[in-house]
Amino acid sequence: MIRSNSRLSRAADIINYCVLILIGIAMLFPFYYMVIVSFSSYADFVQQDMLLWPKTWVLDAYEFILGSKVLFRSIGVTIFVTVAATLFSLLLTAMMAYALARNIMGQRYFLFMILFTFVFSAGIIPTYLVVKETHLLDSIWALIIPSAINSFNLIVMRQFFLSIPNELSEAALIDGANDLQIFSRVILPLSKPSLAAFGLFYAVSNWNAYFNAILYISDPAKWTVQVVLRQIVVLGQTKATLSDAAQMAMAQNPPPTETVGMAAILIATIPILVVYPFLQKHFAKGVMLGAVKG
Amino acid sequence: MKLKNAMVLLLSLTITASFTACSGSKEGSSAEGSSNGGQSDKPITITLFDGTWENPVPEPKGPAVDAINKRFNVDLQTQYIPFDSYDEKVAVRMASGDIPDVIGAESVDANFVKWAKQGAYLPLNDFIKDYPNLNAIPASDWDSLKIDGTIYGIPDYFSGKGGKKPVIRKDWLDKLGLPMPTNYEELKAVALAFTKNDPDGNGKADTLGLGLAKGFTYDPSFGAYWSSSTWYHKNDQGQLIPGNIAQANKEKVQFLSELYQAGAISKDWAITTYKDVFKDFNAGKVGIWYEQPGNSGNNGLDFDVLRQNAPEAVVVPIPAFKQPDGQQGIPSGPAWYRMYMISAKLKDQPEKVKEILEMLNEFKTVVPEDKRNPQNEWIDWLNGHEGTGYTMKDGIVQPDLNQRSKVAPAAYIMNQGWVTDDSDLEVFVKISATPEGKAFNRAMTDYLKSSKFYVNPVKRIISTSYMEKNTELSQYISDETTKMVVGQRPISDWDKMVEEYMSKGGKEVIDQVNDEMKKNNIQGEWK
Repeated sequence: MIRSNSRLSRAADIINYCVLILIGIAMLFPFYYMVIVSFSSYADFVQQDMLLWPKTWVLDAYEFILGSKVLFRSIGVTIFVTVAATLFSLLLTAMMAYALARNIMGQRYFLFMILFTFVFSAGIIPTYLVVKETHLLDSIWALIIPSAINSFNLIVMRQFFLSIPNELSEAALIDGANDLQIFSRVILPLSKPSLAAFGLFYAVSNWNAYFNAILYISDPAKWTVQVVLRQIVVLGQTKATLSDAAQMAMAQNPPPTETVGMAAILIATIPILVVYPFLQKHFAKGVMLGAVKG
Repeated sequence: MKLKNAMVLLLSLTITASFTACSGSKEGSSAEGSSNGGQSDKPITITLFDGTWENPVPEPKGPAVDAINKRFNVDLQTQYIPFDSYDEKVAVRMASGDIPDVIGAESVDANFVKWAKQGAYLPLNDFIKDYPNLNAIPASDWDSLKIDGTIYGIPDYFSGKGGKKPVIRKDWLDKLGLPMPTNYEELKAVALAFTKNDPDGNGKADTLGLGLAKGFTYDPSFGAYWSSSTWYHKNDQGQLIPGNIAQANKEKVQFLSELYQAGAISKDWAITTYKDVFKDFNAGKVGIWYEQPGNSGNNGLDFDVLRQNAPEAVVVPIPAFKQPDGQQGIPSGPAWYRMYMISAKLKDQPEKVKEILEMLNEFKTVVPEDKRNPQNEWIDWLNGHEGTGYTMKDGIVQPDLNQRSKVAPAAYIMNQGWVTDDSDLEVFVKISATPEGKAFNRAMTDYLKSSKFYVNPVKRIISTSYMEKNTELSQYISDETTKMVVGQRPISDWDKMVEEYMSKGGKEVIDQVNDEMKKNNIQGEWK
């Protein structure tokens, strides 16, 4: 009985592994394909329906990308925006959420105002006008300041602060700490898991910043990597709606090929691939710490 | 409690302070296009906003801008957005009143008409006559961008004869001993033979007679009579109607469905993008497909790749079929692509407007094809000087792709002047990169030069309901006819479909287009 049971569970294990390996392959294959295509010649790429191994390894795509510094410059911009905006957003969100979690004057009013923007957003043009009138147009800060506080994140973080027992801050108060000290020495250390979570949310949305960059920034030197990537990839595999005239106009200055598009995506993905495993580890640890202490 | 209030105040102050600190530091970078324009030695500031296909996108500062500034004594402040994202950005700019001096656009669309009618653009009728290269634009081309007789846009030349035309593998025809098809019956025989009779001789049934892509991208029409987007046929009331609801399109759909049944069209064509058909054509697996004169780069026929896959391939255009009404020819549109508008804010600054037009005029200089070399000062300047912006290869200017958008003024300002003798098509023959491409461009150019063209009248008028509804209506017909080709809907439903088209707004579009044509005295004509 026991033997057959264990045989059964071994069979189940094998099936589980097989399924998981298949899922893993499905996840990894697009990356593999990207790498292979980026190292193939365009002629090879065109010839096959599905390229599994390049006939010859060529570096043309990478030469093209390395030849212009545009992609690297934009990755630099994106890294700066992501780091600066995430820190800035976290700081503002945490401060405001904490203030609104205390029983302060005007709490209900501010909460209402925040909920209001949550339901009715301003729309593109009014926001553009605000950015323009504050002279943020064409500045990297236009990607950081206007979207610094996400009202959803703010409200969730406030809920989190509310769940921290009031006795903790009272104890600190008795020990002689002022409000700023309570916030920075007691509340923030307790909030690491939520800070990590929201930091990740902010970082992802900042890394993906595309539309705001197109809208607010005219100088290509300050464009984020998503804008540049889109330019390379879309030109490489031209939309079906593109008119013949547009294609003929482009033909005089040939657009990059799909292989260049793949290489560009790969290079732009590397920073995330490098950072993410560490980030995730830290993130998981933060959640554990919070759980034990809370 | 007091302490808490103080804290709130302090924190809100911190936030405000950080806001002002950040915005304050960037005060200097905001560009205002104000200039009094009067002084002759002080450069006139010109702000320019345009979409672009250049990659990398041209930057606001660099050798090319310096060169333009020096040559025209201006201070050019440019802003380029990839055409892919252009629509959203321009809409926001216009709506916010943040209007640059010069605005570029791809074509006449609903936004152009709306903003022109709202007075955002400066009427240019009175200025044009003073500039020879603008004056060279023929009246029939101005038609297509006039709004109630007023010109707001200055177009850039693009051959009206351009655009994708049907092409065929001549070597396959020869191998199977078939003549060039001259009507749909013969075409059907050829397409079937291409599919079944192993034209590439590899012993495998891996060839397709007719390439067809999702949504009929590249309409399998072999002449103006069968074209879906051309307004050629008339209804019972004598009104012109779009080709996609005409009887000729029904015949075409019938033909396609027969080929589909016989397997001469890919079984998956309804979900195959045109890009994939190009891929198959370049792989030497498709017999009939589309290409235009010139070189579509990576978005079309690649003769280098085709030669590697099918060394014997010979590609030639399929001449237009003889129509039941005796005519024979290809539809054409207006001979331009992309245009510049000037902001109405400049109406009190005629000096500045003249400076802008002078610049645009000079950029439209037509240089004969045999003079396009470094010895020609204009060509050398336009392309960013030999060695830095381009190199000469076989007597042809070859732009350096990574340098061009920094050093070549050509990447910044549209520079296609009006050509009247088709010499622009000859340029394509000359610049072909491969012998096969050269042979194809030769054949295509000869064909286009000798062919008759039907000027699509709907492209010469501006109808708002056509602009608003045409995309959706065409999509409807395209979806329904796709079903008919694959046999999901009987072709006998044709009249029902046309009725549906009319009730979806097609009637209104046809009425308005015909009214506009009558008002502007425009009809479909052969050239």
